[in-house]
This record gives sequence, C-alpha cells and structure tokens, in this order.
Amino acid sequence: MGVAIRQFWQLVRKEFALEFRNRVSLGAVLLFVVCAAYICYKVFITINGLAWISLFWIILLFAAINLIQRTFNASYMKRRWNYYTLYDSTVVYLSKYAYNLFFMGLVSVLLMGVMSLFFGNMIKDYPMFLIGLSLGILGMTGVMTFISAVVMRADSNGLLMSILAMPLCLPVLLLSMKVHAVSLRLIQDTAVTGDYLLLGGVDLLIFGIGLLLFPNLWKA
Amino acid sequence: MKYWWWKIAAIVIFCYVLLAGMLTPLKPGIQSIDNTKGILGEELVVGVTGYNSYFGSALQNRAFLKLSDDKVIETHQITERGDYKADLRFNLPDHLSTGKDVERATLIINNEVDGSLILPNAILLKKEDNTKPSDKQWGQFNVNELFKADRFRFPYRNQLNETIRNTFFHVAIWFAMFILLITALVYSIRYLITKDLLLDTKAAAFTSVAIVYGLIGLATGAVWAKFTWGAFWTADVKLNMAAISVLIYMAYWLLRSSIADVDARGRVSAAYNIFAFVIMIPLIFIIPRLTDSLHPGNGGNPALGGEDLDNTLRMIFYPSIIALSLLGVWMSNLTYRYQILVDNEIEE
Repeated sequence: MGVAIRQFWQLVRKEFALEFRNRVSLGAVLLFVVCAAYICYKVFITINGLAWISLFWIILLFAAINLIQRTFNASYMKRRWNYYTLYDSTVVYLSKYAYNLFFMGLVSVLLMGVMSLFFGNMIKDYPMFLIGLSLGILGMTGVMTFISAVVMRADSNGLLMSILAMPLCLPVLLLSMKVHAVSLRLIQDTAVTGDYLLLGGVDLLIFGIGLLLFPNLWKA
Repeated sequence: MKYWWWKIAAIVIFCYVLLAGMLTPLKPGIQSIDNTKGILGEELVVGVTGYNSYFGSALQNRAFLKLSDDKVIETHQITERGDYKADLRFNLPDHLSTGKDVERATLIINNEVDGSLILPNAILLKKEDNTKPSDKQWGQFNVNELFKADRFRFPYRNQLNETIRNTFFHVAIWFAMFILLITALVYSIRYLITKDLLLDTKAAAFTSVAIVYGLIGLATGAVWAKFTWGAFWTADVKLNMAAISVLIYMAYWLLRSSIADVDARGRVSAAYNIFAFVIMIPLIFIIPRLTDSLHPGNGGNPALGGEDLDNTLRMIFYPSIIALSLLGVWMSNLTYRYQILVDNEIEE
C-alpha cells in the first residue's frame, strides 16, 4: 500500500512537471473556455438562468473533451513500456484521474468566473452549486479518462473520443444540471439530498467500473 | 431436432403472438358521451357511443352514475339505438351529500352480453343556486346484481383503444433487447477472463441484433406515441434516454471498426461494452423516474399493472418476450457464424 501511494505521488508529480514544462495544451484549454464563453456572450448578450446552466455545462463538456483526450496521447504511448514495467496499472489510472480532476476543477472555476463576468452572477446558493459542480466533474472526469484509455489504440481518436464520451456523460450531466437548477432557484426541490446521493452513486459506479476495466486496456 | 427445437418454438410462439394478439377483440367500452355536465335536481340525458358493444341485442341493459359504493343512482329509462348507441336518462338527487358543490361521477353500463362498461370521471355533477328540491336519493351499489362477461377479450382503455396490442411488440421488444444486451455483457466479461476470440465475436453479434431491436423499439414507440400523445416524437425524457442508449451502442460499432488488431479490438470493445451497460442503467431506469414523463413507468405513471396489463394481455405478452428473445438469439447465432466465415476468408 505504501509503495502504491509513493508511486501514485511520483506519477502525479511527473505529470505536473511535464505539463508545466510545455504549457501550450493547458493554456489552449483555458483560452478555449474564455473564447467559448465570450462568443456565447456576443451571440446572446443576455440570457436567463436555464440558458446560463446549459451554456455552462456545454462549454465545460467540450473543454473536458479537449483537456482529457490527450491523457493517453501519442507521446505518452511512446513511453508506455516504461510505465508498464515500473508501475501498477491501477496506480497509473488513479494518477491520470487525479491529474485530470485537478485541471477540470481549475477549468470549471475559471468558467464560473467568466460566465459570471459576462452574463451576471446568477448563483443563489453557493454550497449547493459547488457540491453539484464537484460531483458533476468527478463523474465527467471518470467517463472521459476511461474513454481516452479506450480510444488510445484507435486510429482516429480525436473524433472517436467525442462520439463515445458525449452520450456516456449524459446521466452525470443531467443530474448535475438538475442540482444546479435548484441552486439558481429555477426550480423548487426539497429532496435535493437524494439527487446528491444519486449523483455520488453514479460517480462511484463510473469510477469503480473504470478502475476495474482499465488493466484490460493497459495490457497489450 | 436435439439442437434446433427452440427455433421451431420461437416461430410457433411468435405466430401465436401475432394471431392471438391481433385477432382477439377488445372488451366493449364507452367510446364517447355527448353530455358531460349534470345539474343536481334535474333530469340528465346522456347519449352514449359504445365500442364493440351490444346495447341493441342485450335484453337487460342497466346504467348507473356512481360517486362511491354507497352513492349510486340508476337510470329510469334507456333508449337503445342499435348496438353502439343508447340514450340514458337519470333523475338526479338535489344534493351530493358530501358537502361539496361539484363532483365527478363514474358512468357504468351493464347488460348480460357485454358485462360492465365503465367510463371513470365521466360526468360533472354541479349544484346550482336555484336547485329544485327532489325526493330522489342516492342508493347503495350492489356489485353482485351486475352481469359479468367472462370471454377472452383485451381490456378497452380510453386513449389506447386498439393500440393496446402494441404492448406485445413495443414493450416485449425492449425486454428482448435487454436480454440480448445482458447476454452480450456476459460474453464480454467472459472474453476479458478467457481471451477466447469466439466470445468477442459472439458479444458483437448479440449487440448488433440488440441495436436493431432497439431501433424497432423506437419505431413502434413512435407510432404508438402518434396515436396516443399526438406526435411521433416528443421531448419526453424516457424517449430521449432510450435514443441516447441506442447511440451509445452504435458508437460501440464505430469503435470496433476503427481498431485493426483483432486482440486489441476484442479487449477494447469488451471493456467499452461493460462500461456502456453500466452507464445505461441510470440513463434508462433512474433518470426518467425523477422527472415528469408521459411514458408509463416514469414520473408517477404506473406501468405493467392495473388494467393496462391484465391477465388476458399477459397470456400474449410473456410468450411474446420469449419468442422475440429466442428469435434474437437465433439471429445473433447466424450473425456470428457468418462473421467467423468472413474472418476465415480474410486469413486465407
């Protein structure tokens, strides 16, 4: 267990070191978020609460696809044998998941700020909004990390990533949008705790099944 | 005979489903009434149009307006105009005796040929300011006095009418699709354990037949929606979640065809198949229950219960699931055997 935790931190540190050595891809995703929100602002000018949530999650979904599809990219695959001999596959998956989760958190906070700047701050209940956001990101990251592992050996992985990941993200997306609609006071719901539990359950299911199946994709 | 008896069984059962499901008539029912408002203390005249009914042939027609079991009035006159039309005349009491001014009453027609024809919440009984006093009183309801018709008939439901037969095709094909998907799931799990390529071919064949079943399920559902809801496709959550599930499994095919290496393809598509099945469960069984939906079984709507699926329907519905599943297994067998031939051809 101690070895696994040490390996996990090693891998996460290495991911960050690689990321910050070449900041292009992260910068591109952050710029994508700002650009998308700005285009929406120029197109719609003013929007209502429901459109606010919809735009927020659509932009976040596409940002997530752009961010996470390079999890197992070509340069990573070149070094795959090193990882394969040195690290346990579960540790590899967990480190990738944690790393993606960190950047998804960063992107979503940035998006929250940009959306509030352009369209006005419509969030009425911050704790609820943030819980919904974190649970949604957990699930989305789980689906996308797994799908990026699925498409790592396919030929046209950019397009394949979107068509595989988008419908699979839908349960998480719909549930977190419902929580967000409550947090913006668009609908009244006294049983929102049930939604948290359901969303958490779906996240756990996605995470568990991804962890369980990843070794099969990793071995060649 | 030892190995293909189930194929004959599938054909025989499916023919039984087609014949019995399409030829059995519906129970008689009340299709429409021309008057839906009754003023207390006055005479109420209702013209009734029946469906599959025998008002004219029956000798002992009776009709009732019912608020509850101890608040019932019977007609004092019924005029039959042929088998499908009748005029009912009620002398209404001057009070509802529930303290309310307005209440909906259920209309019941009974005769020895049809049994009971029931239209719930048919007539709105209303108290006016200048209601005339009447000596007519609400009476008791004695179910044992009524005639019963015990013929093999499907239930008549307003809105559904003859489309209730779609239960044997639309609902059954979704059940069969799930059986095929679960079979494919089991093959995928077994492939990941044993790495036997035959199991991967089988999983792919079962999934492809399940996709075809899903498309037929969507099509039969769209036709049903046109007749009951008024549109082929609506924004209803259940419909869209089902469509998304079909999309997820279509992506499975795209994924398979994009990987050339047989071993990698088997591994990747098996992992995706398991993942997709797990995601599909909240998509189809949890989320539609959280929001309002017209589709039975979601958002407070009951399904597979009550009069929508009575014992006569069950006698066709359950065999239909079995027949469609067996036909699906048969088609999947043909698909994977064909695939094996194609693979051998490529190797040579």
